[in-house]
Amino acid sequence: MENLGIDIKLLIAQLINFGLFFFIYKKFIAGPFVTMMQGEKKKDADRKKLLEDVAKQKETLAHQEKIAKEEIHKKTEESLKAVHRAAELEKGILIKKAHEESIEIVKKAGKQIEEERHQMEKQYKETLVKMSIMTVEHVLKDFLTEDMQKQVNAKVLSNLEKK
Amino acid sequence: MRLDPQVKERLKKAFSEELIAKREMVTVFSASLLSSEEMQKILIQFPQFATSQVANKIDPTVIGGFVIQSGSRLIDLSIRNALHLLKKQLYESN
Repeated sequence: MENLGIDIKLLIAQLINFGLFFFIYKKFIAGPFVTMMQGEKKKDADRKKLLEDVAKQKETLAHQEKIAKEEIHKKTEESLKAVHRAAELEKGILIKKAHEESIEIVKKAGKQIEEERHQMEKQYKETLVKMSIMTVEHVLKDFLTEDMQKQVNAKVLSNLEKK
Repeated sequence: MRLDPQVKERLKKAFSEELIAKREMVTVFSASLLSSEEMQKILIQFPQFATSQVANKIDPTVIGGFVIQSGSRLIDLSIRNALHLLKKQLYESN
C-alpha cells in the first residue's frame, strides 16, 4: 500500500474526518435547511390553498350577494306591488268616501237652499201681507167717511142680528 | 213686608169695588161718534150690558165697526180686527 502511495493512517484519518464532516453537515446544516425548505414549501401550499379558499369564498359570497340582491329586489318589488295595491285600495275607499260625502254635501246644500227658499218665500209673503194690510188700513182710514163708517156699523149689527 | 190686617182688608175692599165699577162700566170704541140709535141697537144685541153704564169713545184706529170693552172682557167687531184676522189667516194659509 505504501508502494502505491497510500497512507493507511491518513486514509483512516481522512475517512474519520469525512465521517465527522458528513455527520456535522447532515445534523446542523443540511437537516435544518431541508426542514426549512419543506416548511416553506408547506407554507406555500397552505398559502395557495388559502388563496384558493379565499377565492372560492369570494365567489360563494359574490354568488350569495347576487342571490341576496335578487331576493331583496324581488322582495322590494313585491313590497312595492303590495304598497301599490294597498294604495289603490285606499285610493278607491277615499274616492268612494269623498263621493259619498260630496253627495251628502250636495243633498244638504239642496235641503238648505230649499229651506232658505221656503223661508224667503215666507218672509216675502209676510211682508206682502203686512204691506197689503197696512195699505188697506191706510186707505180705509183716509177714505172711509162718517157715513161709510155708519154703514159699516149697520152691517156689523145686521150680521149680529142674523147670527 | 207684613201688612196690617185692617189695612189689607180695606185695600181688598177698595180693589174689589173698583173692579166691580169697572165691570159695570162698558165702553164702546168706534171710529166716529155713535148715534143713540146705534148704541141702542148694540145694547139690544148685547143684553148683558143693558144694566151697565155705557160710554162711547172715539178711537180712529178702529177704522170701522166698534169695540166693546167691559172690564177685562173685549168684544171686537171692528174693521181693524177683521183685517188682523185676515192677516193671521194669510200668514197661516201656507
